[in-house]
Amino acid sequence: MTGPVLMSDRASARGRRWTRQVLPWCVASLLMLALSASAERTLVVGSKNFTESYLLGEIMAQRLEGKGWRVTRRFGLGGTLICYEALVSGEIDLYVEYTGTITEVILAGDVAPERDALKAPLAEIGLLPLPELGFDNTYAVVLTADRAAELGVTRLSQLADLPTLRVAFSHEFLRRQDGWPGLRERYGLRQRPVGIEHGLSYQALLRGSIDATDAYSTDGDLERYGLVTLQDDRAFFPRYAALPLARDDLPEGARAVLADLAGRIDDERMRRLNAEVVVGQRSFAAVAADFLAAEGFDASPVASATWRDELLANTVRHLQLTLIALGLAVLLGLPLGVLVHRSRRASRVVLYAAGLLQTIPSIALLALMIPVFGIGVLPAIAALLLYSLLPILRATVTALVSVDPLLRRVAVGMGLTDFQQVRHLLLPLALPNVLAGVRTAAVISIGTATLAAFVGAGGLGQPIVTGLALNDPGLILQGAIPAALLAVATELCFEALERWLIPAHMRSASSV
Amino acid sequence: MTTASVRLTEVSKRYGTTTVLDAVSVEVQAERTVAIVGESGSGKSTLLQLINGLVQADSGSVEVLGEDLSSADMLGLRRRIGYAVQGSALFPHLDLRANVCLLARLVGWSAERMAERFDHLLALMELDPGLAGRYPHELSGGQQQRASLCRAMMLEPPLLLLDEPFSAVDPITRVGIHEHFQRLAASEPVTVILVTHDVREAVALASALVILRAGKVVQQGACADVLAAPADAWTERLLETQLR
Repeated sequence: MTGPVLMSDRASARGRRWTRQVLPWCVASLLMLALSASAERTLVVGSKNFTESYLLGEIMAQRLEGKGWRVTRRFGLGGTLICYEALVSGEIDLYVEYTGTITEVILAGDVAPERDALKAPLAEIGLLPLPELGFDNTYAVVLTADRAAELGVTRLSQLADLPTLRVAFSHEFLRRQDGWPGLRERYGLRQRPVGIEHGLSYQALLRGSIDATDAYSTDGDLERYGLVTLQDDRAFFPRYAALPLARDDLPEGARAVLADLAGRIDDERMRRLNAEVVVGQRSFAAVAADFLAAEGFDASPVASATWRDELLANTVRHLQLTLIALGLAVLLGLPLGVLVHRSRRASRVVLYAAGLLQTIPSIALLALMIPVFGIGVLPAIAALLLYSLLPILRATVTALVSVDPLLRRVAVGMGLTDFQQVRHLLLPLALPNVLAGVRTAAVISIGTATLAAFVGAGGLGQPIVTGLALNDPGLILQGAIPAALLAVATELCFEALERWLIPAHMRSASSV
Repeated sequence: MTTASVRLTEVSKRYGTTTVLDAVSVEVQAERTVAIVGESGSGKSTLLQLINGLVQADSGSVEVLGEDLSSADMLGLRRRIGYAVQGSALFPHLDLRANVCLLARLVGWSAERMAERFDHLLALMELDPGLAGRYPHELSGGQQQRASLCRAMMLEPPLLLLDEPFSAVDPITRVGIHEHFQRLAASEPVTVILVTHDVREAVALASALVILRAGKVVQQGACADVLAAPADAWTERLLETQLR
C-alpha cells in the first residue's frame, strides 16, 4: 500500500505526491534532531528565565568561549526545578544558582547556604558548586515608594498590621519554604497573596492593582521603577550567594576558567549590570562582553543575530516542533482510533485517557516530560504530541462510529479484507472529520508550543519568555504576533487541504 | 442431476433467547433464481447473511459453492458471491466507476479487463457511460440500484445474493429494474438468491420460492407448484393478498 488514506483514485494520486513531498522533510527533521543530539561534546550553559540569570549565563558562556570552549546556550529554562533536572540529566552542564535556593529547593534540608557546607551534599548527587561570584541576591518584598510612604512601612514586621494589603507573589515564591510560607510564619502575616508571573508583577505594582510583590534584591528594575525594599528585620531570608552550579564531570579547564569569575561581582555591580539590560535596553551579549572586557578578560567576538534572523530561526523551530508532534500524533491517533472504535468500552477508556492528558496544564506537562526526555526539543515534542492526541482520536473515533452499518456490511460481504475496509471505506468516510480534528490539534499545538521555550526547545516562545523576563512588551509581541499569524496560516492551509482531498459533497458537513 | 449452489441443512440461529431461524433446510440449484419470501422478522435476511458468512449458524451446516462454511476461506468465497442490499449502499466517496470496479482493482484485474467488464455491465443495465464519473448522490434511485447490481456482478460471481435490493425505489422504476435484472440473470451463468417481502416481485423474477414464517420454512418448490398448492392457510393468504 502506498499513500495515505484518501478518497478517490485521483485524490490518492495527489496523496502519493503529498507523501513524497512532506514525508522526507519530516524524516529529515527527525534525523537532524537525532544528529544534533549526538554531536561532539560542547559545554551547555543554562539559565533561568529572569534577567540576571540570562546575563550571568551569557557572561559564563562568553568567558568559556574566550578560552576556546564550544558553548551551547540553553537560556530561559522555566524555574529552579527545570534547571536542576536539566543539570542532573546532563542536558546542561552548568547554570548560575543561589546558595539559599540550593538549600531550600534542591536539598530541602538544613544545610547552611554556604558553598563549603553545600559541597558534600551536592557531591552525593553528582553536582559541584563553583566559587561564589560575590553578590547576595536575596529575596525582598517591594512596594512603590509612594505606596510605602502612604502606608508608612519600611520593615517586614509592619506588614502584620496591614492584613488587607493586596499582595501578589511569583509562583515559585508562593511555594518555597524560604518564600511566602516561611515568611508568613516568621512575621505572623495574614494577607492572602495571589500568584503572578514575575515579569508582570511590576506593571501590576505601578498601575496600583497590587500593593506589594516579591523581588530579587539585585533586580535592575527596582531603581528604574523607584521601588523600595522592606527590611527583613527578623532575618528570615537566607543568604542567596550566586555561584555557578555544575555537574561534577565538568572538565578541569572549564572549572578554572569559571573560578576566575569568583568575587568579581558585588551587589552594586550586579544591580548595575541588570539595569543596563532592563533600563538601558542593551542585549545580554553586549552587557556581558563589556563586563568581561572591563575585568580584563579576552572578550570573544559577539555575534549578535539580527531580529530578522532570530524571527526566522524561531519560526522554523516552532514549525518543526508543531509539525513533528502533529505528524506523530496522526500516526499514533489514527491507527489507535481505528483499533478501538469497534469497542465502545475501549473507545471510552482511550478517549478518557487522552482527555485526562489534555487537562494537565501545558507547562506542568512539559515539566513532567523532563525526567523522561531531558530538556530541549524532545520533551516539547512529546508534550505537544500528547496534547494533539485527543482531538485527533476523538474525531477519528466519532467519525468511524457514525459510518452507516449497511455500508460496512456490504464491504465485508463483498470480500474486502479488514485492512481494505479501513483503507477504502472507513477512513475515506472519516477523513473530513479526522482532518477537522487534525486542524484543531494543529492550532492548539501552535499555541502550546510557545511554552516550549521554558524547557529550552526554542521556538516563538523564546522572545516571549525573554520578553517576560525583561518586562519588554515589544519582545513579547515578537513571539506572540508570528505565533498568531502561524495559527491563521494553519487554518488556511487546512481549508485548502480539505478542498483538495475531499470531494465537494462530503465536505459541507465538516468544513464551514 | 443439477448441482446445488447452496445447501442449508437443519440450520438454527438464535440471538439471545430469540430464535431467528429454526432448523431450516434449503437447497438452491445452480443457475436458478430462488426467492425467499416472508414478512419482516421472518428471518429471511439472516438466512441470506448465513450464506456469505456475515452471520454464523449456531447449529446445522451451510454449504456454498461446494464448500462447507465451517472450514471455508471466507474471503475467497465472498469474492465469488455477489452481494447487493436495499438502498444500493454504494460508497458515497467513490464515483460510479470506482464503486463498481473497487474489488476488481483490489484483486488485481488489468485495466483493460476491468474496463471491458465495466462497459459490458453498464450496457446490460442501460446505464449511460457518461454517468461513470458521477458520485452516488448525483444518480437517480433507479440508476443507483442498477449500479449496485453492476458492482455485485463485477467479478463474474457464480452466486448472487440480493437482500430486498429493489424495495427502496418507486413501483414504476422497480418494473424497469426487474427487466434489467432478468436480462442480467439470463446473460450470466449465475445462481441468484433473492430475499423479498414482495410476493409479486418474487414470482416475477424467480423460478422457485422458499416461504419463511417465524424462522421456519413453511414451503419450498417451483413457483407454479407453490402457487397451485399453498402448504397451509397462512401461506394461501400471504400469496392471495399480494397477488390479487
